[in-house]
Amino acid sequence: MFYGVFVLLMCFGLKSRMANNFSEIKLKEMISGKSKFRDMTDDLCKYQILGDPKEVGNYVKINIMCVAGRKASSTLSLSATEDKTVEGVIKEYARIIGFEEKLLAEKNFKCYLDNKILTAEMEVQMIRPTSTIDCYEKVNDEE
Amino acid sequence: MMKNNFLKIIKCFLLVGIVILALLVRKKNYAEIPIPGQSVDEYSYSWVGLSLIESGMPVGISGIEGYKHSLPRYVNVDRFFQTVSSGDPLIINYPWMDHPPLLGLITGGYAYLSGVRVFEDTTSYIIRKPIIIISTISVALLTIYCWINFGFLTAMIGGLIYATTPLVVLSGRMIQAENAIIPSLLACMIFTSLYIKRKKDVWLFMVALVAGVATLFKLTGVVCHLFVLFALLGNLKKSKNSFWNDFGFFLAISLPISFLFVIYGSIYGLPNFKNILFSNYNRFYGIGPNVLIELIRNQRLTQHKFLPEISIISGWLVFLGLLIKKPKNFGLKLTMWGIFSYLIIYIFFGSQPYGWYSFPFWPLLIIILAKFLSDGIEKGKNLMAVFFVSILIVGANISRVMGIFEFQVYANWWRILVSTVFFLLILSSFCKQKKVFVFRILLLMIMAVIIYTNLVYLRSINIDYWWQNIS
Repeated sequence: MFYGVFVLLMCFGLKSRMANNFSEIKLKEMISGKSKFRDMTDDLCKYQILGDPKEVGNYVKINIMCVAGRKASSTLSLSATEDKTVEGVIKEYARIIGFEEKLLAEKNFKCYLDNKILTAEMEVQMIRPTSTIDCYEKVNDEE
Repeated sequence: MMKNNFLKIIKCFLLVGIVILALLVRKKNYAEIPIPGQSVDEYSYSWVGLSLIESGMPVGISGIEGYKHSLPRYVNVDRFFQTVSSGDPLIINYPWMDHPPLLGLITGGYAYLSGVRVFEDTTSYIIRKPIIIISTISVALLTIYCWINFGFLTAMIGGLIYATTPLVVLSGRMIQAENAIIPSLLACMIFTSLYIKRKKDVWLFMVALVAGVATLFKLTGVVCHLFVLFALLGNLKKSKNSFWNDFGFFLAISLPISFLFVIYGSIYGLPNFKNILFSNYNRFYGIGPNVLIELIRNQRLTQHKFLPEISIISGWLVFLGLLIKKPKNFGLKLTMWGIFSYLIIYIFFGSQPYGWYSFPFWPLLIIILAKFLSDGIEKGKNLMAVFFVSILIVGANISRVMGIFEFQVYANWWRILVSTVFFLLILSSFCKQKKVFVFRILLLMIMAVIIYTNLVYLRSINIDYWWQNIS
């Protein structure tokens, strides 16, 4: 009797919880939602993603070069990035590392995509797999 | 009478002291060691519980085939992508059915109550707290089991060794279902021994309840069912008629509880549940001699992190000795059935030497080791062997605390001391009236050194030590 009631409660409870609360948006929020507890950094060379994804030919390399020769090199799997535009990849990188995306502009970083200077026009285009994004802190145009 | 009660109270206080010690050593640096992210299962369990509570859908890391929904994603909890990551994104699956969700509900539920709502916030600082409590409960249950079956001294020795053995302490901080199966199995063993001794149905009911719950942590929790089967079969001679009644009663309660996982799985679609179950059956199976060699020789924390522990290896040696000797002691028989039950599960279910697959052996081995040591101290039984095993453990502990090369200054003293004691032990074995009092004191002192060096070693383990010395 007790068992039957428990099973019914479990079934109806879970089904109604799922029907009322589960959605693609909720899933995304849980997986990629902003952390309350994790510290945000304003030093873009402090952290990097270790290792390389095993998946061949579907990644983007991001190199951040800070002053005093400090560097952060990461390889991001494109299969794990929903927005596959250049801007989307940089946004996802900022989320993973934990910095405000606007810091790139604020800290005077100059970015290059496959050695070509990154323009606003290029940012909204889909990124080519195996591309490399290089960002340099306080770089003069001549350099 | 008054004196007896007073003594009992003192003993209880001592055992409570052991449990407090166990909690304290497990708590120190718990969020840093083992390094978060070396086993992403810890997060996965918690995410399953958290997502179940938040959205009614279990979402976790799997990577096994058979899932309809599979998302590669970077969730940089504890910044583990900056410390131990291989570079691959995590494969997130839903509805996650790798294992039953009870452990996830405990750790994820605790995270939810702590205000966590997104996966990135399930830091080891939060999610490891419940598992520390669970592994401390295991220490309490081990001492109770030893006290019921072997007496107070075994309970003290077993409790202290299990509370402070570094490998056990570190493994007890990891969110792995095995850490929840351990207290379930120990509770099953306690209730079974009480049932066989006192023949009160309430104990069998408790055994069945705990065995059922154990399978909701992981299917290998079925070890409790196997154990009860062996225990009841072992008692067959005494009560032939009641075996079927007892086992029937046990199954009537435990199986419906275990079946809850199937009902839970069917809520998310039976075909999905079936697919994953069969995918689990297709997992890599480490057939060959390495299964046993690795189990006895190499104690692991994770797949690639070893911390060989002589207490555990000594436990295996005592176990082999008991196999040959065939003990008559009821408690020892019960413990050996426990080891056999899990050995069957280990070989047929797991076999691949991931660290956590072997966790449930350790309390059982420490129980038989404690009984072996306490028999030596209390009754002067197998004094030579007891001394040999104790010295092995002390030697291993000293080498860890001091370093092998630094120890060389004392090597001559060590040799003289150990060989003198052995010589005296040989001499004393010729005496008709064994005057073992001195040896008892000596063994107690060695025990104290073992516990002290365990604690010193535990205190020295920090992140630097982990990277440099634990490989």
